[in-house]
Amino acid sequence: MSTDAELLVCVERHNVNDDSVIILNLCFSSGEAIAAGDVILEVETSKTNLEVISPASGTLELHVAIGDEVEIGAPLFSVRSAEDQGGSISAPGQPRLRAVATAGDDDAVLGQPADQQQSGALFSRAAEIRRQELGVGLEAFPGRKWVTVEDVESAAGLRTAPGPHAQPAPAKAAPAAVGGPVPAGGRTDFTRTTRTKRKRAESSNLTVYGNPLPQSTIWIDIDLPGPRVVGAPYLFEETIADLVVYEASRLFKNYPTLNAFHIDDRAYGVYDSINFGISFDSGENLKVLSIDGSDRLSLPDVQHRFEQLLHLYESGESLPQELMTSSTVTLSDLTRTPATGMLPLINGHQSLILGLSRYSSTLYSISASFDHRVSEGLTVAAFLGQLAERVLSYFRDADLSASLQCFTCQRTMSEELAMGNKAMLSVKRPDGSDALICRNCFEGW
Amino acid sequence: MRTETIIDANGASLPEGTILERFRCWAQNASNDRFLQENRKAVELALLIREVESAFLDLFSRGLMNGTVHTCIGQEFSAVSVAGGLTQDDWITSNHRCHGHFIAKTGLWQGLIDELMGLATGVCKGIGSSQHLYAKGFLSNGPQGALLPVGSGIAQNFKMKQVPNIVASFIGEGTLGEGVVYEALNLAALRSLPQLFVCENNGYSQSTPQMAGVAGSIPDRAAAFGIRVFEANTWQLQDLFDTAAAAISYVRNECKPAFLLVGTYRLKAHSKGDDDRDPAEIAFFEEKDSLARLVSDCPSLGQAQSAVRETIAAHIESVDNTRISAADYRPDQLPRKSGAKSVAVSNERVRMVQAINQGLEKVLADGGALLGEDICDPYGGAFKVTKGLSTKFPDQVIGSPISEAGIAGMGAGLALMGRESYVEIMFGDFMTNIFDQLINNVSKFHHMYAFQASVPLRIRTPMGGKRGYGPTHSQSLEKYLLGIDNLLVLAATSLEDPRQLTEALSGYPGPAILLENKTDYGRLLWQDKPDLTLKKLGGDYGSLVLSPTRRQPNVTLVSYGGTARELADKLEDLFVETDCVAELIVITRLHPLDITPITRSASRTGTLVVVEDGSCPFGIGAEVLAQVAEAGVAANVCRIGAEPVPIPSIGELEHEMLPTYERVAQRLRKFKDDLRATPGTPRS
Repeated sequence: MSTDAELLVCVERHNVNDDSVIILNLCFSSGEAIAAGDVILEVETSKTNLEVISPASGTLELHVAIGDEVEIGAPLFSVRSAEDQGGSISAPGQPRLRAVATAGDDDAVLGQPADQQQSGALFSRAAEIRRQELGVGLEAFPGRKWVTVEDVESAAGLRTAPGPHAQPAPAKAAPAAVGGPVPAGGRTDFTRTTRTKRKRAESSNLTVYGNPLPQSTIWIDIDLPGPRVVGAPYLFEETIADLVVYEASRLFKNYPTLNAFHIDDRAYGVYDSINFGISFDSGENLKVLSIDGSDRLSLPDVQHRFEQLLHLYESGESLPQELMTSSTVTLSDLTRTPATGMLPLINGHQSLILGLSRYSSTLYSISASFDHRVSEGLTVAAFLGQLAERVLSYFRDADLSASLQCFTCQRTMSEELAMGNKAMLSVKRPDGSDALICRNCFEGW
Repeated sequence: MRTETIIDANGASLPEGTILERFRCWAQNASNDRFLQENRKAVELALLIREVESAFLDLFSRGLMNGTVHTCIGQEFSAVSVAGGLTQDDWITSNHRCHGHFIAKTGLWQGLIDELMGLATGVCKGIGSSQHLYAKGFLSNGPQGALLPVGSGIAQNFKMKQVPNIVASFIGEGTLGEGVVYEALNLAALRSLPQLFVCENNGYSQSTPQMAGVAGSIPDRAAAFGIRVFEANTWQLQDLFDTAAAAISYVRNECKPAFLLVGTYRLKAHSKGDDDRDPAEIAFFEEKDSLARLVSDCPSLGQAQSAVRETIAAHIESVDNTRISAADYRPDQLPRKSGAKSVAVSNERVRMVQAINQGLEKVLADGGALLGEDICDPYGGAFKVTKGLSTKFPDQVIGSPISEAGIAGMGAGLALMGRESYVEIMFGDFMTNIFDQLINNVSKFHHMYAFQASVPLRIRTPMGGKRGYGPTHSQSLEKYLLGIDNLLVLAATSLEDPRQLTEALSGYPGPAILLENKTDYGRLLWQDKPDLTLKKLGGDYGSLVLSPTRRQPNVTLVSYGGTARELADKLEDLFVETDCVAELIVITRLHPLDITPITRSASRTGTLVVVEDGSCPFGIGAEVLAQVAEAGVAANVCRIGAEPVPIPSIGELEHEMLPTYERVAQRLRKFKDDLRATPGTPRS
């Protein structure tokens, strides 16, 4: 039996200009429980927007819809008093206003499942996706508000950094205590990963004869079919180092043990970021300078950074310490030398070094030396295979007809063919070099 | 050839012709023998003015004076006739040619000489020099018409205090080309203010003859406002003094404005030596010059002239050469403190517009004044901010015609008299109309008048779009208002009770601009939200900081006004959509900028995003980033603002052009991606 006391809220006059207002937003739907003071809806006058607040608690019944134009004095909504509502008034402190912000489809857009709301945690969209990917339960975030991707990854053990209150280094110097090699400069930007028993046994087998660094080298040859699809900057006309850095950086995501280092027989560290060290050597001063975060750079950025480092190295100026110590993997490029192959040596605190050399302007060789305690031959072979495939995708089959030119009039082979001729003549120039000449120039000549 | 008919003070009809022909006619027929007998003091005062100015020309030619000098040699009796009828408590506003008015009103000729010599003993410590003089009852400024509405404000203050004082505002007839003159005439007539407009017509605006500078009839211009016109000239002295006395007494007794047109001739160049008038013309008026003729006809006056010359020379010989130091000159009135202590913000449950209204009510209760267009009941202002106030304080709430420069000047005049005055400019876009008042008057008075004057003027105006009002009613022009000397700029936001600002301003002696936001008016003041903490930092007009209660922020978001409120309302959504945990710093004091909380936060988060309502180039974001860089804080930074195009009326397009929440979120996401891709960024 209902003894409802109903309270009707109508449009007030807010200024002398307006005889009506327009409904902009509804914060609740009919039938919902509301509390006195809740913002029920927003109206637009000719001069400004106004929020209309419920004077009482109870159950809401709306008399308007979004977009309605409502006369002054007309009813907006009514509130049935709370006595009969079985205490279903909305809890104080719920952020009711948020509904105003995203107009209704809030929950759908933000994808907050009900169990999350129960746990009280607010996940960023990206964090929620990551949470589901990693299968981390909500119980991992007790009392947490505002959970970021970083927090989720920490909870999943992917990061050593413990959540929101990012503390500086000291807590992470742990590897030193275990006795393994400490990354250069006391770096802490890695995740400690425990080896499997099988890998531990393999690792101790490899070192049983006193081999201090069980390194192995695998290489792959790349035969380029023609020129690059997109012409390379001058610095990279005679090498593929830029493509190797760019593509390898992206591949490491799938090969974490190649962007890692050996800690001890129980564990190795996987670096959080990919900082590609480039080895520069003028003959007396070998330096490895790092392209930090190379997996997040575009190809032009990689090329640009490469060039910057080269200039920095060649300028002879003192090099920033961080540039020399931050690399997590290394490339040694010998394509400018007559060498046709190499067995590069792994840098300290790394598990992989790539070497680049070439037999000819189209035949390159990429060699990979890796720490066998951290990774394995098959993995590296798969990595090299993918890398070669990706590098090759930047080249197209040579279409000589466009690039062959008459040495006097610069007419191309394709133009010559288009004129109905069949070929150009190969001639010897006075300096002994070979050249092509078109029919027209030949006959005139 | 002009063909107007002029009626002189005696009702005689004068011949048609150019103004100079009329002057010749008056000069030709003048006889002032009787005048000297009865008005010797006035003549001696005119003589003093002439000798002081002659000394200026001499000092100038000897390189002992800085800048420039505009003499009134030939026009002295205009100054003497009006100032002679004024009391100590009356005021004069004057212009670039002000020495005569100043000496006639204040008698401080020694201080004037020292002023022009740039000495610390000058009436304005040498700061203002020739054109910028101030003493009790007197102020002058170089820009022409801008002081007229200031004079109207002083007159309004007399009226409100119910004292029988008047303001005499001097202009030259060349100034009649400026619109603000008519705003002042209109306001003075509408409000029946005791202001005497004295127009010294010397036939030239600088080098431009009147025929090429003033159309139609001068007296008719004033008469069109229903203002009574008096006319006289500096050749027929008895008539001049009688007319000036009649005009002053009319203004004082009737409490109405009047317009006194004084025909006269400047014998020297406009300033220094820039004279290209016909030498024969000058020679004629030199020969007919009233003062020179009186002196040559009266031996005792000749002796007096020599004595004055000697006194002046002796003064110049004995001046104290001390000059004001940079350290003494530099200090302004602006608040610069920035406190580290913070208090939690807890607001009453009222709308922004009501809270401002109540703040203004307090100002009025304390004796302040409110000026603006359409601010009176029943309309209560375009945004209803002043609703009810004119009913409660009918004498202090001044509804004005569309006259932004006029009311800004009037507010300045009221403020100059010590009355805190709030001027409402209906739309921020119209702030452009008051730039002369802001830049050449109110921001300068304090320094220019050697710290003797303060202008507690507050200009309130709503900025911002998102209402579809289009290109000239939606702008956020704060960047043009920032960085002006001695001009405080505050941005109110519904995150904080605006009464705190009006309260803090009540003790502030300098001028201030209070920016409001159209979309903010209707909002409820910020109410507590779970998981978010809003704090106000100490210091005057301290910044607000909104941050997640239990989460360390990793992005510093800086904004102000209504946009800050929008971002605050969506801080959680911003997090959900971008994974950025933002700390929102809301600047209240835009100039001088309260940078400390920003540098403090940015050095913690390493990432700084400034959201401004106007377009970014050369804007507040640029200033924030510059100051952050100067403070040595290395952070990843970006600015988000309006697109640099006029704001369209079309709803969707307008939103795309403005810094909406959506654009901030989008930019933050991109910014975050960029950050990941940039080498050398701090790893976390």
